[in-house]
Amino acid sequence: MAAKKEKEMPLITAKERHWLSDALIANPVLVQAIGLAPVVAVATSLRAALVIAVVAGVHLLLCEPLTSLLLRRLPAWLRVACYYVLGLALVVPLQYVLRRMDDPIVAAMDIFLPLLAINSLAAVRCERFAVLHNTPACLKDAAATAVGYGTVTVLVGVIREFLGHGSFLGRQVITFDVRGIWMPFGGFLVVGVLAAGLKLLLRTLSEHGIVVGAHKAMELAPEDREVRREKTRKLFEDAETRRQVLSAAGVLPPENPPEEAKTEPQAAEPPPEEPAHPKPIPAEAVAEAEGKKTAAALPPELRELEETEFGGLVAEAGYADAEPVSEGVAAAMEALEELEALDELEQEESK
Amino acid sequence: MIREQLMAMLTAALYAVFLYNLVFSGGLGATEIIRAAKKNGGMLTFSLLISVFSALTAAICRLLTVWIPKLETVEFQWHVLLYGSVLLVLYLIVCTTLSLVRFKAQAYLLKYMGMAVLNTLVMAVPLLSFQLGYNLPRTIAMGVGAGLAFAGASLLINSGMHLLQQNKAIPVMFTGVPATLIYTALLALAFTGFTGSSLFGVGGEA
Amino acid sequence: MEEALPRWKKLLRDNREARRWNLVSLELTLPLLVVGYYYYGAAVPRLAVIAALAAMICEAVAGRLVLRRRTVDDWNAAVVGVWVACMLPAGSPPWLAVVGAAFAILVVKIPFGGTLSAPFIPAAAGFAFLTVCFPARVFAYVPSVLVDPVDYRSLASLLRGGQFVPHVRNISYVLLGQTVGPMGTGSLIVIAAVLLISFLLKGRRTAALASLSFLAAAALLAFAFPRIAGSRLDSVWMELCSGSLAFAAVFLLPDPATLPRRWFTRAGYGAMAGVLAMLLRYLGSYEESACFALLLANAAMPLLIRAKNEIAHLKVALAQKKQREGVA
Repeated sequence: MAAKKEKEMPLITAKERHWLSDALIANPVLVQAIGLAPVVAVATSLRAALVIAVVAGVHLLLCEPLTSLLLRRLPAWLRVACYYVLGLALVVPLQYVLRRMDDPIVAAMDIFLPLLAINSLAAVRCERFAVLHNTPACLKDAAATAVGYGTVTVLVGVIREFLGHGSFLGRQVITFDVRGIWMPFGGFLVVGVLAAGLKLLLRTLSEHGIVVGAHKAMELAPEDREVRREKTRKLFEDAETRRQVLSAAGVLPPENPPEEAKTEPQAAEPPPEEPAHPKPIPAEAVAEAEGKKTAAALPPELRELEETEFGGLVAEAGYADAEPVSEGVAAAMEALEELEALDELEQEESK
Repeated sequence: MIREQLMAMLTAALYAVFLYNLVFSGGLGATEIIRAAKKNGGMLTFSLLISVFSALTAAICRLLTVWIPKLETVEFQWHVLLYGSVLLVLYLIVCTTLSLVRFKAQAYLLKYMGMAVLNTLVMAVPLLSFQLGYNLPRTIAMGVGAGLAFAGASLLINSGMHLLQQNKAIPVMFTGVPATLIYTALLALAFTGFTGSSLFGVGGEA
Repeated sequence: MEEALPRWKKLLRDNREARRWNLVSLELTLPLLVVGYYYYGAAVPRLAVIAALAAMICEAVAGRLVLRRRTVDDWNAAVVGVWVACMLPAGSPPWLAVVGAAFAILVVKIPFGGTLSAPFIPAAAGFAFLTVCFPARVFAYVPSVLVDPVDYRSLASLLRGGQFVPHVRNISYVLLGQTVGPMGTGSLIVIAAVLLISFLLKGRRTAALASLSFLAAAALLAFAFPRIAGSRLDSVWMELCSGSLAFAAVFLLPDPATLPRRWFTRAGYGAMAGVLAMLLRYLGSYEESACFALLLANAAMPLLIRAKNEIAHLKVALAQKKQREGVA
């Protein structure tokens, strides 16, 4: 990888990645570990895997744009119920039709076909992405996630059918019978091995400088990463809000937070044992905070945010966490993910 | 009579935890297990919510089937619609109540409700108990067993994750999700010693 | 405070300890192979060698490609292969032993960093995999070529069927491994001798304590809840002599990567594994369940150790708080 010392490195954000690259880099099954239940339990043949992939993909393509358009103002607990209703509306007619066709797939999938309505894939993607982005971006994300999920599901189905039966699409290819592969243990194992394979593939591609829409940080030489890290940090220096938040999340070095934050009585309170649910940040409060230089003027909603797990961790804490936030804070979350990716990459390389 | 009922309930609960472990032998709630195991707190809340909602949903569905005998003979997809609707209504009632009543743990509970209640594990309990022909007490016990199975599984996977985090010898390509999934696979292999097969009998067809 | 285990440090610092342990393990396994050869002929050492070679080849290749270091010279792969083979019937096809050994190395060892890093006992996981995937072949026991067995059914299947057979009272018959069963695990007298030797060997004493706890717990449950109509002592005999229970206790359980550090924790670990093995025999689907029990014990132990540490930390924190309040 040639170092690009002379060239000024542009400030790169996740928006510059090709949207379809998320099917690989942010693969829902192999990287994010969501939507595992159908893949592990039921994707034991190519035909079953195709049904799962299609149902999950359609569900996602319906949910994400709808969330972005209509549902983001609702409380998170109500949004999750809406995803479920959409799922039921999709799955129940499908099961009715498949039973009329007397399809053996239905018999094979047993009760799991209806359980696809409640698949975590749509809910997690909507809460992590759709509530924070506009509809075109949601459509792209849904498409990429559906492609990624479908690809992995089909791959797992093919592997498990071949190893478990020695067949492909129901036709016997070789005499082979490894029963354990059909079981959830086999599903977890196949998915785990594929996840390792994907990780190896991405590393190899980035080491060889092949751009697959991969995270641009992977293309940078180590010395350029520091430049990029500095630039990303500077993005927050002007906005007191974002800097405070990143300090609380532990991303910036400890010297960064202002002295006032340490003596602030509310900030000195011990954090609660369980992270408080972050209330929605009013846009006026953010705008007000951005102009302020000291933490003393920080509004209570933002001070409360310091005590919660912010950044990428907010989305991970559960569906109900991703309340609509202002654009500034959303940008902060995005940049935080970038910095975390850089850290992870450096840790891997130092091994 | 009561003693027999209690023994039957205990058997149904233990079946759901060990013999037909819904997580490791059925793959149910796999995503929620791993996400819950990643956090150090909240696992017990999750498990409690799963137990309560599984048991309640399954019990209500069973009662409906008893009160309206015609429901026994309808096609399976209508059962799905019915059970799904019961779960949804229950969830909405509880969440609406929680959001209206102010108390200390309100935000905390609402945060976990969606993932804990609307997942494959909770939804599977009424469907499975209908398929297995369980009566009301056994249905409730199975719901409780589902929560216990979730609690046990998430604790085991959580301790495994801690172990894997401390293990610096893991090769780079296996760190993180791959090692966790393979660890979970080996746990599922261990539980297969009880069941000997998948919970859903899937895989017999090509 | 006892910690759950970063044993990877040992591997990185000093491979000699691992090599010594594994070579001694191989030496202790040899008498079982000799007895197996006596009863079943050349199939026993052939299968053991094939399994050992397969395991070593898998480790050599995967170690180079994945771990980026040479790991095969600690002889652990050979030990794993031989142990997987010992638990199989003498008439097993070679590919069965190869698949089991390969699974043990490629899935259980390599992804977690190799010897002393695997969170599960590789040989136990390999055999469990074979049991789940090929149950008919794994329990297709053949009678000995030299000794006419009184019964062509294995002790484990007799126990499963709740059948007591009087010949089990012929102690020499049972202890010498003349019953139908796995090719390398039937001779209880050899296994008992190995256990005794382990108590005499420095470095294996407390590991042997874990094995003893396992056997004691299993014996206690067999005594308390017999599966057969004979006397309780007969139940104990049959349970301990059947299948790979004793072999798993003495050879597989003391795996240095998964064994806890302190002697009392080891004893508890062994007892827990023994209880699980008997529970699986009562409730499980397979006649041989010791390996599944070991995997469950491997998974449960870090959890219990962590729980114990958390309780200890909490006690210390409470004591400190009381002290501060007292001072204040």
